[in-house]
Amino acid sequence: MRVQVYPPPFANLTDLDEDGMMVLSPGARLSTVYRRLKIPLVLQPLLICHVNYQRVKLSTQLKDGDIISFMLPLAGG
Amino acid sequence: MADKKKPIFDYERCMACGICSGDCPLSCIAMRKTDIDSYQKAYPVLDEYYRCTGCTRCAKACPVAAIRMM
Amino acid sequence: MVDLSDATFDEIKIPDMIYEHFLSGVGLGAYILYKYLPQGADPLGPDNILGFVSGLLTGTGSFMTGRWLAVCKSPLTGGFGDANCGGTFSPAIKQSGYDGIFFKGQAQTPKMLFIDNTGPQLLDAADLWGLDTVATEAAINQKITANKKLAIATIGPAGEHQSLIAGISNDGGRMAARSGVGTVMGSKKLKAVVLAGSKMIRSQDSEAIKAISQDYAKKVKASNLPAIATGAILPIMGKSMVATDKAIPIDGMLSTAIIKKWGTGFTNTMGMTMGDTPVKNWKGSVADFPYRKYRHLNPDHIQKHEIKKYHCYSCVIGCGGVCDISGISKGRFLHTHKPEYETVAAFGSLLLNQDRDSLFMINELLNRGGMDSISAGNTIAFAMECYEKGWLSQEVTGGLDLTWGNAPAIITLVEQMIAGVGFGAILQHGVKKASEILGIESAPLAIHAGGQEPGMHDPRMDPILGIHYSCDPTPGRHTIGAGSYYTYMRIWEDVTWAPKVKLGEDKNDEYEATTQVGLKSMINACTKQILDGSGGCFFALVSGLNHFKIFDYLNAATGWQKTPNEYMTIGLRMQTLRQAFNVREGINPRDFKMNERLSGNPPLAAGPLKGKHFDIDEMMGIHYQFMGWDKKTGIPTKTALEDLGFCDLEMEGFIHG
Repeated sequence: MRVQVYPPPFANLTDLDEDGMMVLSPGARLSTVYRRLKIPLVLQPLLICHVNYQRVKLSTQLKDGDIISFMLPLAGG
Repeated sequence: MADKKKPIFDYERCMACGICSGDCPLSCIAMRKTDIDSYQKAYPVLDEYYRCTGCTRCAKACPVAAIRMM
Repeated sequence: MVDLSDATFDEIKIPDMIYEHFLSGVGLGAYILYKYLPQGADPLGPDNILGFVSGLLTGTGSFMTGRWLAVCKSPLTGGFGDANCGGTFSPAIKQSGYDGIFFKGQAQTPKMLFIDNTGPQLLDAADLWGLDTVATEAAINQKITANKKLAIATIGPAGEHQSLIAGISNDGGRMAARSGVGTVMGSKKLKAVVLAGSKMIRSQDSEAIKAISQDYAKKVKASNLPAIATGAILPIMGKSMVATDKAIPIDGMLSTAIIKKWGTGFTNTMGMTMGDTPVKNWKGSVADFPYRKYRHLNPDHIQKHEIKKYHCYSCVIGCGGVCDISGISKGRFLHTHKPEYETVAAFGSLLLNQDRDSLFMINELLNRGGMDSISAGNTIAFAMECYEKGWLSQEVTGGLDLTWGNAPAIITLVEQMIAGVGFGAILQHGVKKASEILGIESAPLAIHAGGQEPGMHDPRMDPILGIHYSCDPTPGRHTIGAGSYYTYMRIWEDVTWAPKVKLGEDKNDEYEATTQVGLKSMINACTKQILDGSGGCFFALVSGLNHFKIFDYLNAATGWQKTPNEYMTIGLRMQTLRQAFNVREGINPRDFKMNERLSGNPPLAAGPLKGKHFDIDEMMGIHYQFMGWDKKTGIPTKTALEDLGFCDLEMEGFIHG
């Protein structure tokens, strides 16, 4: 299944295609996304991550088409 | 004589957007109540209870259906 | 149309077809100005037209559409002028029964316009002349009682003295500040517009609109920062944004959490490490204003003063605030609107001023005085650089010591500029005029584009900003477009020919005049017009069009069934009309090119933007080309005008390239 990811800037992006999509096995959890993005354990509590614009537990199972967003600030305005 | 209906606000749904306050033809709704969230947003209160004619414009205008007329 | 010279009112019915061509808001304003303003009109004379326009979506149940604009021929640039503002004035315009209220002529004595459900009246305002904007609102509320709370737009002393950088205030200090719109209002001796109407605003499919609104609201409601997130993280976030040259598309919706907490102030410190924030009249960097100085501008400190959130009509984010400043102003002012980033930077880093308390004072002085903080800050920065070079003696400055960062001198100078006295009399008309008065050698230090001072965002970090500073018919504005705004909008999900920003794209590509840059800047300009024609908020736009479904909103409100591609054509037509207005009024578009310091000529020697530069002439050319305007001159071509259907609209006097 494919999910849309908006990664934090220091993430490892190799598992994302140019549209920001990540391929996961069905039933994969949010924690898998963190692992694939190689997010350092120590930074994990500082990250604000939403699945489909809701805060969920790391153990949440994802489904095809889910949107996983990490918060980053805007520039401008 | 039937009692006029007045707006009751559902603060769980309310987004504090100010549309009800801005649309009321007699400015009966003020944006005031702040003890609802930690952001200190001003939420609507029916400031002018007796002026309110029960016209229901506020309830109709609310995009998130947070106002009921009772 | 209100004729102030003979106190008459004329209701102009606009055919539906015009709205389909130009939307409302800025499009309606441009249409009226082009049609009714005589060519060559003196911006400070009776022939200029000043308009107050609402937006097509205002009051329809859509969220984030409570903005209004003031439009006029700008005395600052000589071309089309508009200023965008929020607050509660926008729905009031429509509730008075009109999409726009326009003024021509000049009153003999100060007047104000009052509209309630019985119609418009011109009332005497001589006793209000001289009052600041806050005092004026209070006085009007004493004088006039109406069934509905009054929505008041007023000028302050700066507009009355016809400072070229005067703006129009509503809600006690929310300003339509740019283009000298307040100057024009002052030249017409129009002190205030007071609205108390309560007509209903109708839309075609309000259920569809509400559905979109509910979806948007749900997402914004869930976007919150945890309590541990303090202002300390902002400089770190800024550093991480520039740590890589790779473009990383962000989800703008979650960024509303940051705006909810701090308002625009989050950029105060984040911009320092990113390079977004200009320093020392645009010639410095974080090396000149390091952490130990800029930490005073941490927005957490500003939040401590906030007693209540403030937001525009129909906004669910609420970026504004009311601050208690009785303690720091020695009791002179009790409250002020929370200082925006633009004001904090223009009077902070731009002047190497780390005195946070002074920023609150300056904010309130400018809001009450009715003067644009971006223009005022840039002008003082210019004066400080001249002073540094030894070109200004204490005699000229009236004894003011204009060393960088001298907060008391800055405050005094602001007061002088608003009153039009002392050294402030020279600076009150903006940086271009000040430079002309002081002499030709000072011109390279005068940072402006086409006479208007730029917003606090550095084109050396985002070159497309520089394109819009130099090419928009209202130059020097930071809200038109940027490479980053394009990325946040995600417009490629709607507009089929919009280039998609791919993960990992090289940000350095935007420093060359490529097809991508041409397309992106063209789309930025058109989308901004659609936004301003709808009364939409910039922060809604950059939260992502996948969330802020403006095209669906427009269709639901009007009953049109236009595709996003078709709306882009409308945006292009609106922008082309504004450019055509400038050309008709004798502007050579290339003259609006921004000061080359902003394109890195010479480049900065330190900081995150060290060495960055780009060719602004080439960049302007590629933008003109994609707008359908002549690549060399920027004048809309005959083909462009025909393709956009201007011939069918009974509008004349187009000069084409």
